[in-house]
Amino acid sequence: MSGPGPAIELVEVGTRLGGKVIHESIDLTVQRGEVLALVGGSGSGKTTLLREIIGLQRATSGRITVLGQDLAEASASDWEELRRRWGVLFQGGALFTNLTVFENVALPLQELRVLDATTVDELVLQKIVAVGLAPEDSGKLPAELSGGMVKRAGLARALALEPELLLLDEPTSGLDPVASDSFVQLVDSLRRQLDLTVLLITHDLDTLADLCDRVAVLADRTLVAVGPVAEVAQVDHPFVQEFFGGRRGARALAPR
Amino acid sequence: MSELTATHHPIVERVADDRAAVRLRGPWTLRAIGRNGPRLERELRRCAEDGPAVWDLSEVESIDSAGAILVWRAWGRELPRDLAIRPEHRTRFDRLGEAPPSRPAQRQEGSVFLRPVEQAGRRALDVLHHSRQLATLLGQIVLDLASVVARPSRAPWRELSATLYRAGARALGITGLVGFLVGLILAYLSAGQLRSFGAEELIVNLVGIGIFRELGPLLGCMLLAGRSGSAMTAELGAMRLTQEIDALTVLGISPTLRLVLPKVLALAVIAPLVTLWTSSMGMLGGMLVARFELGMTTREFASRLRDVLPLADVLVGTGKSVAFGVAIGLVACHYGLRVKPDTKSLGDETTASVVVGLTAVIALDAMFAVALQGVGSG
Repeated sequence: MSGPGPAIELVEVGTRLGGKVIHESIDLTVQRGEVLALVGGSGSGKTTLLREIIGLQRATSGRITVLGQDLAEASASDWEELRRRWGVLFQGGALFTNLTVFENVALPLQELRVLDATTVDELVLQKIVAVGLAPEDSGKLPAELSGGMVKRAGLARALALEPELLLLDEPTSGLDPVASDSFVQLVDSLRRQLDLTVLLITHDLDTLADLCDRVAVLADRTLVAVGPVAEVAQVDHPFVQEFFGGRRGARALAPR
Repeated sequence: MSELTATHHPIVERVADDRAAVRLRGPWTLRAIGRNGPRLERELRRCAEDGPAVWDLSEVESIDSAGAILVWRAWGRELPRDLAIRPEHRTRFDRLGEAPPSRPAQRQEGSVFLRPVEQAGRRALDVLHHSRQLATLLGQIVLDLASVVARPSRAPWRELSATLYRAGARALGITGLVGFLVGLILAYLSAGQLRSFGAEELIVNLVGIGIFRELGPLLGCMLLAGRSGSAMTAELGAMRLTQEIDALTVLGISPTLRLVLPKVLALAVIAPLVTLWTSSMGMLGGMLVARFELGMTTREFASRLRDVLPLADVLVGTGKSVAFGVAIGLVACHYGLRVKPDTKSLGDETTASVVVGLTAVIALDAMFAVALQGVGSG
């Protein structure tokens, strides 16, 4: 269900934490249906920016609009509405460790309190199968899953409420290249099937090249480049050159 | 788009001119369906039951898997032969057949009647299991202690002193207050009774022996078990969750030497000191009551206390609290190391640690009471 306007809009966003400036005048627009990657060095404040977008933290200045809702002006019911329209995959999966995979995915649907139990069961299994887990895995506890399975289960939970917007924090970190590739393919196919807008944080050049329409580079407290991967790679900035330069970048960005 | 089709709700309608045609309109998404799921499903089923129909989904604005499942179920889990649908919506139905419709069967539970028997058996085995693990832990600590004695430079001094401060020095407030209040209560209750026998001066025997031999050690150590035992279990448990204990192991640092030994040692040192402190504060409470209720001066109280309280009683009270301290430390660490990597287990083991710790203190006390009959005023 794509409404008018961009999915996410940041205007002049600035953040200070404990007297330290993290972000300065960040402007970014994520269009509906696009996949945008946020890259940047360790400690550059990528996760902080993501937390501001999903309302876990407040920006010090500037305006953040998500799915047409200005976060600063959102009432409690606006927040409730908004939180049902996005799905978030945290870096470590953030699965509830004392619930099984099934219960983890079912939780947001049950909290919605509009569907009967059999429909919830069926939807949950759909999601579990859709992210590439076996139905038998649904009874497992998070501690019994491998790293890749944790990410998939986290993604299934993020997709449970049929979100319009998907926010992924380092979805492929900690995965081996094969698992990472298959996760990227999974997100790509889901995004095509479900008309998702995706904002992801990543360090992985392969993910960038395979999945993302545009990339935004966070360095020196602000966005130094925003655009298609190939264009951004040409930008003359020390971090950008270091990130995309060299054999690593050449290999990932080579036309396939 | 006509005005009719601009709707915010999913709609099922039979096309008027043709009884066998069903048309769906509007958004068929989780949020649009909302509470109308059961009603829509009934309508869909009624349409499907009327025999093979032409299904027209081409005016559906949007459909997600929640909407797709509703329709799919009404169709009997297969696509109908006559179906008009937008190609981008059709992909929603492509993978629906892959997931099983209900949860795979979970582990089979035993018979309802045998379950209590099974549980009793499990409990009994658990007790054995715990005892064995506790004995292993105690053995490991003795070995660690031996290795520390052999190479004192490897002793975890910093951890020891940190635990002494956290579990000991910072417990003085609460243990002192409780000791004082209990001394006060005990003296106050007995004062009335003793006065009716004209045996006022016996209050010193009663409060002095009662507190130094029994109540002081018991109260002080029970507070330690509740306060420090739970903290230690939670600390070790959290370290299990974050794999810190694994990290210590692979760094070649023995987790029992670095984590368990200083805790148990510190509690063995703290417990007798806290016991003396709690007992002394209890005496203070008793003294105050004797002063104001029975008119016994502080000097009288103190000199009488010296006459009636055998040194053996103070030693018994202080000595057995060393054993209490070791037991509290062992139990706390044992449960802390048992925490499994999920948050519920952390809570369960911390609860178990406090309950077992308290029970252990009281059980040990009972054993001492029997074993030390005839020593001092016992």
